[in-house]
Amino acid sequence: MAVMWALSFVVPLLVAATIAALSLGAGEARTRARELVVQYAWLAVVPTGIVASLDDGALKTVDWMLFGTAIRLDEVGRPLVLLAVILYGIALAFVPRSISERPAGLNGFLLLCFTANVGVFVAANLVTFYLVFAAMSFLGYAIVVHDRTTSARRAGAVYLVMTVFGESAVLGAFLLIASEGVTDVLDVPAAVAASDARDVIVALLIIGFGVKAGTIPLHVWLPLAHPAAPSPASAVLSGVMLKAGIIGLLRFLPLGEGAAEPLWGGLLVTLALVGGLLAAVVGVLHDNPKVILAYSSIGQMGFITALIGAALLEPAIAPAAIAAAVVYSVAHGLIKGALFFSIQVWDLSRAPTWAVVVPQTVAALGLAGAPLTAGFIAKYVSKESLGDVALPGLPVVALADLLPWFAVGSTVLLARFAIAMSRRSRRRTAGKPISTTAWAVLALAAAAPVWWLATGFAPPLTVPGWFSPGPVVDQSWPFLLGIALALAAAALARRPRFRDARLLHPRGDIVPEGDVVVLLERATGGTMRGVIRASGVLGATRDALVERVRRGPSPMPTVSGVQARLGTWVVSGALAVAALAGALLFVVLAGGGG
Amino acid sequence: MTTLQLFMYAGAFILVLGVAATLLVRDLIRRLIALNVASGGVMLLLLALADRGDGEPDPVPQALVLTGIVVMAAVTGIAIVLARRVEQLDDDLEEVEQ
Amino acid sequence: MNDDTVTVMSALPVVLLLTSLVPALLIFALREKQTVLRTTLNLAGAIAKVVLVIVLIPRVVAGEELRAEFTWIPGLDIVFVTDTFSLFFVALSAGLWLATTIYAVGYLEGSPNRSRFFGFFSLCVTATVGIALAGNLLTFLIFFELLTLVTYPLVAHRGTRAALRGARIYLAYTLGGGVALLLGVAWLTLEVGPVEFRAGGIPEVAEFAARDPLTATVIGAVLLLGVGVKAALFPLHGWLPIAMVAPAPVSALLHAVAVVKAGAFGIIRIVEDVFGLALFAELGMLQALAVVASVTIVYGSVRALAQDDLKKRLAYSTVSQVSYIALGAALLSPIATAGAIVHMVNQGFMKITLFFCAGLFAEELKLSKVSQLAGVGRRMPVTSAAFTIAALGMIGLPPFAGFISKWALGLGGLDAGQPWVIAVLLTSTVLNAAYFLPIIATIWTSPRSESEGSDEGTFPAPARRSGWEAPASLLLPAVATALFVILFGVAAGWDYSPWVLAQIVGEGAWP
Repeated sequence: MAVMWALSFVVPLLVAATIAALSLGAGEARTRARELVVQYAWLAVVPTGIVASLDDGALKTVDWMLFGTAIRLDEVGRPLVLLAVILYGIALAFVPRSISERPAGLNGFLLLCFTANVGVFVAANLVTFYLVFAAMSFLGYAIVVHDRTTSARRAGAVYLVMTVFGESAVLGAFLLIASEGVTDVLDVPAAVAASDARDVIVALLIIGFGVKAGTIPLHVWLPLAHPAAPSPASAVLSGVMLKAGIIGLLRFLPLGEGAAEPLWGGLLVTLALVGGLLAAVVGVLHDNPKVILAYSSIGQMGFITALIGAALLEPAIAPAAIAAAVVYSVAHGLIKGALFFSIQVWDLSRAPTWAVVVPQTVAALGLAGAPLTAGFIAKYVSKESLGDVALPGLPVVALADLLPWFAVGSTVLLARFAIAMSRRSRRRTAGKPISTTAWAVLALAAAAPVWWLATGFAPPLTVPGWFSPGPVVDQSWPFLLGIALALAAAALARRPRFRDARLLHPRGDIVPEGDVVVLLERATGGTMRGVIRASGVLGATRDALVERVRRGPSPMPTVSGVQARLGTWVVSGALAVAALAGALLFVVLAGGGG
Repeated sequence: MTTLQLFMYAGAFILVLGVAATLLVRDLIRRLIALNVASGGVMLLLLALADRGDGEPDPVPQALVLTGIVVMAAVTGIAIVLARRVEQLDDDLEEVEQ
Repeated sequence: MNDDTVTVMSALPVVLLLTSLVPALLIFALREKQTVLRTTLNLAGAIAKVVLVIVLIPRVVAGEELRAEFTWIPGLDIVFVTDTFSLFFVALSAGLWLATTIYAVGYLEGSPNRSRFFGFFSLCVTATVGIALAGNLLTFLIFFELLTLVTYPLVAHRGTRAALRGARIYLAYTLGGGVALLLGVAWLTLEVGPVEFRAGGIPEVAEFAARDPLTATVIGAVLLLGVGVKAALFPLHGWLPIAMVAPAPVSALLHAVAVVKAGAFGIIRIVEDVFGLALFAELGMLQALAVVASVTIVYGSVRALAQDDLKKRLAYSTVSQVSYIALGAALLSPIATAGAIVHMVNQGFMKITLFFCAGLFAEELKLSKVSQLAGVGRRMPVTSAAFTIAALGMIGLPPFAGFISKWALGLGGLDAGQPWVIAVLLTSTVLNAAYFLPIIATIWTSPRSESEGSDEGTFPAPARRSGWEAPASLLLPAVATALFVILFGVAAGWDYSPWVLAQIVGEGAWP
């Protein structure tokens, strides 16, 4: 088992290193060898898939690495690892024919991200987690900025700034946790619950992992990064990398331990609800399908964060909430990945339009939570896991009743996505049938693994039957309401009176991508300029002080003046001799002793 | 004030005078002379310390002073040569600049 | 130096010194044209030193201590001792000297006065090793001053007006520090007699401090002032950015190995092996040192943000990073002590890699400013990769070496009951990221046309038959040190890794 794990980490690293080595020189043979490696790079994820399916869940340690590295595959990690294997595998297969240039570089970095991402899901102690989390975050920069356009570089810069702050917060939290004497991840929630610095730790964890998970107001990098990155990279970003933030919250927050946390739980839930609303409202004002999907991800991540917040509010529901969060993450990952891949398939594949639209529609329905889809199962499971939890300030409204409104927002967003996609032209330049088929299978069959997963978690989770009327009605009304709203908006937009209304025909110019990011950019720019100016001022002050000291009152003129006058004073010689004589006399008379 | 203290204060005073002049004066030969004055002050100090006990004067500081005289002679010789060389180079530099 | 170390009289410490002293003296006698002989002497000395160190490490870790002593004046001895901490610093110096020698041979090819340069270069390492092996304050002082004197010609090597001015300012600062050190050492020896370094503090000093705490505090402050100039503590750091006029190998050596680390080494020796941590804390000096170190950490990073000149930015980064060592030494926790000691090695390797890469950019493409580095990643990928690795290590990201020291310092701060250390560390991390990440982003992602002062669209192609991006003698040391940066982080649990050795050394300070 340990050997298999070593292989599963080493193989992608080796393939990436091979790609790097083959890129260094020039020459026909090298380029062709590199293309071959890039074509089959997706095979590198297979060892991980195998070991994740077969592993027994025991702790495996490497004592000589860093401060002692340890991994363990538990029931929270396993589904996510398998999700990563599927999405990264398809992404690696999609890259060689994608629109972006330099597929070799993209594949290399995707492989590295894959290793780090899987590491996040299996890390068993604090240092290991921080290692892979930081690695994944900074490698993410490489895939966001891959196309090197101006917008990609801007997205990359915003991503980096947010990541640095997130990493620092996580580091601070981890140091505080480590000082409690805990290293194993399984012991952390109890230690945090019992710690004196609990509030500080929880705050830092929420900030640090919130950046990754797209929690408002730390979500600003998401809508910039997704359109800038190539489609396979966006798929992986939304599908798997955001889940790293979720697993951070799941592993390290004191869920189910000790007393409830009304403050933090309430905060998380509020942020999640606001995020869901914001995502829907701002997302429909955009035109670029990737941006719309990005805002959809923000909303969906908010949904999962709401589950976590509820677990903080009511520790009794924690096991069910955690399980529901995992199920929802897997469902969202599979479907969102499929939707992002579908953009590339639409653009490049030579398959007929109906063959692309059908899986796309099925996936979209899944996201909205229509019956018979993965989303249906995930949303039902989540709703049931919440029980009667309510917001601290509003005991009347049960959280479980607020969640379906997320589905309304998702449906509206997906309707907008459909419109945006329909306006997009199909270039049909390249496309391998095999990878397109793999994508279609992913989109159509996403419900199966999710249902299997949900039933695997059975004790804390109540899984819906496929055709039981109660759940179907419960899940259908938000979806139908969303469709109704979308149709109403479309009908309104067609009326001649509103032909030119910007609000009804949004082209992404009402709210900029990343909404608040413009303010943040200005603030950061201002701060940087201020700090640089302060630094310059410090330097100038120091130099001025040194100059003042150097040019200060010099005794030299006085001394030279005195010297000159003494030197030319005729009497000075005689005085010197007299003084000498006096001293000698004194010495002789005083007896010379003592 | 005992003789010992007188010598020590005088030595210290001359030392400080010499060192200050070495650091502050521009001209190289004057600096050299100031350094010699400073060494004179040090020697005075050492000789005073030689007499600090009750019995015979301590021979070690006296030996150090003798060594110091020899060292200062050698240092002054080298310094004069160096000063001449520096002034020569400065003259060359001025010629080149003109 | 605890009770179960076996002390053996041996000439090996002196031999360690001679491996660089003898080549130095021989190289001074060589003519300019005798390149092969000079390079051979250089490399022979460097390799001999490294081999000796490798032979000695297992013995010293097992508890054996070598000692050599000479009497200078009756009552004052010159003592060389190889305890774990000495050998740690000697190992760092020897390893980095070898790398820098190879680099310098390539960098200075064809320039004048190479015999003079390499002579003083070897003397510089001799002085550093002397500082490392010093067994008492007197020996330490002698070699500390020697280091000042032999680094002056290196800083002034180019001979230009700016170089001479920079060297003069450097000399003014370091000689001033030397005077303070002399005062402190003489005063302390006067009060307690000639004493040797002892892990955990010298008992006579503790007695003296019990008798007269005020004088002990003043002596401690003066000693720290003396070594603090070389260790670039605020506000004594002014010489570092100015000494950047030196050629790249000198900057690399000064800022990674010799001068700055000697200062940091001195701080740790004084705090732990002269006064002892507990005594220093009682006198209140430990808190003062912690505050000064923290101020330096933030100040250095803030100043670094504004610098466009690459070497100046790296210089201010050094000012900030060396104070991590001082901060670790100022915390009452074994983890913090170990963290400070391991940061000597980690920061040394990371900084030297950065300076090697800066020198490579300057030599190959004449680039010295950050704004000029746009798009260099295409033309010099290996150099840029080494730079990226070292820079990410400086920010403190795992699995690079810098993370090990940062984590240890953070834990140490909490262990010592000073949680504000975490705030300082996090601020410093963010600031480090602020001035390193833009460089990395520019190097890899910016198109060439955005660089200042670039007329053509691309860089000139490599001018050598092998097609490599830069001369091998410059590139290989950079790659080697970058690999060590990765290795020291990833394999930190290996029996002879710097982290494990640092923990052994740190334990010694807590008897």
